[in-house]
Amino acid sequence: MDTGGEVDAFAASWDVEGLIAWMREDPQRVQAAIAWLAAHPGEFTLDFERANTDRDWWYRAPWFEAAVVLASATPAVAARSVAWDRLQTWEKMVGSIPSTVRDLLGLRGRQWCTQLMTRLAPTWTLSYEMFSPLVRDLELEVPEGNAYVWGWLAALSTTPRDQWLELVLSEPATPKLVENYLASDLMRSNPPVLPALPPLVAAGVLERAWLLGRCLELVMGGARPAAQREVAGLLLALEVTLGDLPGGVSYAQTLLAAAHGSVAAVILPLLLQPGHGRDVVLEAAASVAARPEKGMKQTLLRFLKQPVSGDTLGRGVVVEAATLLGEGSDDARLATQCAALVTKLTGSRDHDAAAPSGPTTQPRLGLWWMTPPAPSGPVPQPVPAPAPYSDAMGPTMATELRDGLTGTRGRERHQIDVERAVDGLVRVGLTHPQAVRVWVEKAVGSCVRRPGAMGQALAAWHHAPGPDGYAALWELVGTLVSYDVWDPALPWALREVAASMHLLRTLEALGGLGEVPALLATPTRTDYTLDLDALIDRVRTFDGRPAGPLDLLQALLRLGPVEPTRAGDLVGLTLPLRSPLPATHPLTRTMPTDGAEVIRGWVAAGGLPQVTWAPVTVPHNGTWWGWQVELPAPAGLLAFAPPGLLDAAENPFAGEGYAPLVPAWPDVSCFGRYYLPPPGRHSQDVDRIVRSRRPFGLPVYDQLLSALVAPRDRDRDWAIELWLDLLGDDRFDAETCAEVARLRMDAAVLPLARLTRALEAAASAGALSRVWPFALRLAEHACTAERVPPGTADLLRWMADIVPEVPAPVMPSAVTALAARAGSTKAHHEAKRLVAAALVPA
Amino acid sequence: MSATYLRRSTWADDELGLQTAAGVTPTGRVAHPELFTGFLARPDVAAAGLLAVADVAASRYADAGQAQRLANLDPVITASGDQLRLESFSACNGVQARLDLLPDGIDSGNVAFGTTNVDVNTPLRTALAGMGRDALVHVAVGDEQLRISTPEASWSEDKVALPQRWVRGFAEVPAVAAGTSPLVELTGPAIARFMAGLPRGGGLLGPRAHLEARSGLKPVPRPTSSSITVDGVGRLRSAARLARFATALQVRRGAHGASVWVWQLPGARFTLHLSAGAYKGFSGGGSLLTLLADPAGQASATTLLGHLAWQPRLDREHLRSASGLASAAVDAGLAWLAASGRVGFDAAEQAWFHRELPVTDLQQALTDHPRLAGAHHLVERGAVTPDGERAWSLAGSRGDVYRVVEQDGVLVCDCAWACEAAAGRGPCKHVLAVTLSSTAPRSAS
Repeated sequence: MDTGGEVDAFAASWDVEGLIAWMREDPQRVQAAIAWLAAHPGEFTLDFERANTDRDWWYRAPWFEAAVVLASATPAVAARSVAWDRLQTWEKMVGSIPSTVRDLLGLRGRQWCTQLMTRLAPTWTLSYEMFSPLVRDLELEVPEGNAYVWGWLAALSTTPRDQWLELVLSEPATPKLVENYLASDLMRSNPPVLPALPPLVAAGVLERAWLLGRCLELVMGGARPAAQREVAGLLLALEVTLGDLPGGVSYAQTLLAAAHGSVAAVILPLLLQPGHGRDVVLEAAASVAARPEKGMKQTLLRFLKQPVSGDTLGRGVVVEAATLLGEGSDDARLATQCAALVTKLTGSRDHDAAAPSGPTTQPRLGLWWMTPPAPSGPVPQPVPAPAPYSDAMGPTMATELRDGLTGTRGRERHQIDVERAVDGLVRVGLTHPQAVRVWVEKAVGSCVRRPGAMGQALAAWHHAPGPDGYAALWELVGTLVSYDVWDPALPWALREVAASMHLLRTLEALGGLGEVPALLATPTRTDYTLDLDALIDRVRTFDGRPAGPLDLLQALLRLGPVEPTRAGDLVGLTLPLRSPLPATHPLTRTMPTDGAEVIRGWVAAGGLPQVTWAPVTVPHNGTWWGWQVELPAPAGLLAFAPPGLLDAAENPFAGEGYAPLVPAWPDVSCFGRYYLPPPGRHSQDVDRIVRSRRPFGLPVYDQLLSALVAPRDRDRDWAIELWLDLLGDDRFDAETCAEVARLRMDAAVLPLARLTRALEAAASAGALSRVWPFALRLAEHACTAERVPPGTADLLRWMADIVPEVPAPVMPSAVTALAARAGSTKAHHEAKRLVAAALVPA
Repeated sequence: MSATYLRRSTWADDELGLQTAAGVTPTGRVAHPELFTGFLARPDVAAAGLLAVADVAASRYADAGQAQRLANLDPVITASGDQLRLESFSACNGVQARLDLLPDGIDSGNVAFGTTNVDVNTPLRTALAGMGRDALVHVAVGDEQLRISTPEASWSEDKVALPQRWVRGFAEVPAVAAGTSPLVELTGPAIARFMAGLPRGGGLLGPRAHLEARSGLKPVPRPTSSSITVDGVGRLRSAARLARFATALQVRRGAHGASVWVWQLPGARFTLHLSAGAYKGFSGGGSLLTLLADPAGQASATTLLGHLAWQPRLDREHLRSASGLASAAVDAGLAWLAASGRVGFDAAEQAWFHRELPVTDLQQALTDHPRLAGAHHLVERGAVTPDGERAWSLAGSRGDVYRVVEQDGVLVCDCAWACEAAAGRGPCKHVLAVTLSSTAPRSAS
């Protein structure tokens, strides 16, 4: 067997170990192996299909290739040519191959290996798992860069914590790895390496001073919070003292002022020693007062309260420090505690003024009598009449029609244009049906040639635009909205039930060309509403000619609530209905005969009813806002609507696109939104809904509240502006909003502190009188809870500050009860302030 | 624009030696000038201030992905006979920090005149952090003996370079500072309350916040007539090192969102200039570009230059009488000098001060401003044509035509940049080109 044949034999089973042993016996054989590689260029190309069927190839072939390259190439070529990333996957680092390859690398010598690792170090392909034995055995220098350290961290993270010490002690390069770790940007809390190092200090592997010095340098250099948290863990674990810090007390003061809170919290107790003297304590107090962390303020206060502090430092120093702390804090409880300490030490009550505990005596600004500016949003405009003959069948209308049929522009933005186009065609078609049919066939011809089920159905309708074609499409749409059919060629918009309603109504109109004189439901205003007078006029002009049932239903949905007495205006009118479905279809048989009678019944019942909202839990999909409604229309008419249009149970997520469909139900657009979404997870639609100036209910207030308490500033700013528009329009329903707030509070998804900021903004913008009832309801519910929710103190504090502006304020019983109860929480304190402030006579 | 230090700055044996790079003094360019030797009244305050200035230099608050990564740049120090000023810019150029060591903060010693860079290295930062209030520290900015003893080679190979972003920032900040008006002054515990109440989150840059002056700069949800909006409140955090020493905090706000924050300290003053937006560096401004293109202003400035003498407060009346220029010419000359980086503006004292940036090609750095260069290019290719009595047309390189008209003595352009991004950022290149073409009045939008 020649050498090439021998390599073939190794390659048959990808015997890497055998190949390496064979090459080591005779250097000439390496050349044969190289020749073999050159003759099989595609053998090592990444091929997942082959990987599925040939596992040996997948696991072992990259090693086979690497072995030949590492045995022959220069370090530069080896670094570039070997598929290091493929070798390092966990499944390939098992067995004896890696160690065999490492043996091979060992034969190349220290210099060669050093050069290879230097080349690999800047990349992420320098595996700790692969190279650490080599570094150990050949006593190579630990490679610089993040990759090697990252591999070390990965090894640590997969090792149980109780075995870390063993692992790092067994690694001779640990000091250098720690050094590289500290110089890297890999410091993070998981795994927190630094707090685990003190045993190494105890064992003499790491020098305490060096380690502390490096860590403190990081802190002084403004390292990231995660890194500083690790340093804080180390400082705690090492039980650091002032003597460990390079500049002693002064250095600690600098750290206290500028380090991350986690580090400062470790440093503070070192400074709070009675023996340190006045300046140290006062400087520390000034630093702590300027920091946001409440825990450190409490630590300082506890220190000041100790009798030994007063005895050693002198009462004057304690008083000075407590005054600094109390006056520099917005925290009413802390301020009160500081003031109490000062009073106790001085015997004077003058310092009570430092604490905002008494009733607020701010001058009145007249905020109650102000009103927020009225919004200046767009006002709905009348919709122009459908286009005349020449325009109706022009290229623009052809585009609108095509877009309407394919669902690409069938949504709210352009729907009025499409509806006007179709209405124009129907009107022209009454006198020139054949011409219109020809034009429609030509105009929509290209769009119906689509792949998939919808394309076939549209094409069938296109060739035979009669009842049978319509029935096929009707059936298909019914399956589409239920998500049972996946048609990749289907425009996504048609999956929404509102868009499918629009498609079916368009096809219904085109199917009635020559018989139907016009459309009933074309909106009369740009907000998609339809005036009852316009509808009655249209019924009159029909003069006994038929209308489509879906068109009639759409017209009713767009009417909104109406005055029941107007039903008399329809007496004496008749409106036959023309089913787009075959005469034998069950829906045709149950269809009402007189559309005018349907309208009369609808109007007599008051028109469109409001929906009832309730949470609906969808299996595997969480809880959503669901709705129920009973429409005053015959079931035979409602049956023509696409499934799920008016039934939340069948159509759980299809709230989109309802604004053109039922403009008087802005809430329904929120249907398909989460129930009580977390802060900031609101729908962007809430803006459009609120600005529509139509009444809305729980789901919209839910979305609004979610936005008002969003974590991001810009979301909150946007929501406050929206809320102010609502308040300026005097459409804010405090009761409904408070009801949602109650639900959200109970579900712990209403950060009261953030909502208080929104209240503050609304009040300062002149809406105090409109938000105060809402604030009262919030306070009432918060104070009723067995455990007051977080942020209650913020709410009560704001109310106490603003209550002087409120004429004859009446406090909810829950607030007065909380104020009367014994307790030392901030909420208790603020409740007392609020009640006291409310009692101050005007 | 680079130089070397003779050795690293150190603090050892109660001797704080701040090493200087090449600088400018009344005698001209000096390799390593000695600007101060003496003792400070409050070394702890000075050390914290120097650390805060260095913090700003090492910080990148906002990164639009365009700025070259620059860290640990060394502050620029200006000695003015009785006080020292240390200045730096953040890497994103949206923050300028300045520490003024005032006469009552200098216990004894000799303050010379001149401007240069000082080395602030990592070991020195550690040492400075440990400097206590009662430490008796002799401070030397520049080391005459060292310079004499090692006249040729640099002990350290560290190179210091003043990047063009800094140079343009130095030119822009005085105009911004001079255009601010006082909003509020906090004293005593209110400063701590303000610092503790700054909104958190959003990384180093921090969130945008509206701070209400009437309630002690408390964050409010919406801007009001008495609030100041800070885009990125994290940009104020470098002052945390000094907050414990602060006796007063003065806040000034500019018309387009820029602001000046001055912390009064014992014997010192720390000033932060914040640009109008977190992602709008000072170097990208150009509010004084028109002045740079004005030969009359340049002539006045040249006359004034000989009378500046590194004064810490330039007295306009004195300059007028000494130079023989009219008041308006003095103002124009000072503005030109500010635009060329030769004078700074002290918002706390409402006074200009002299400094000479330690760069050899200062004028080139400023006139290389992309907008000014673009304007020169337009003029050179004859793109500016009069279009009516007070209007000009400019042919763009892609066939667009822009129209600049004079409205109420101000040139206004209809280009997209002028319409959308110009607020507080100076004139567009079309307005500059019209100004340069000498057919228009010397004013700009």
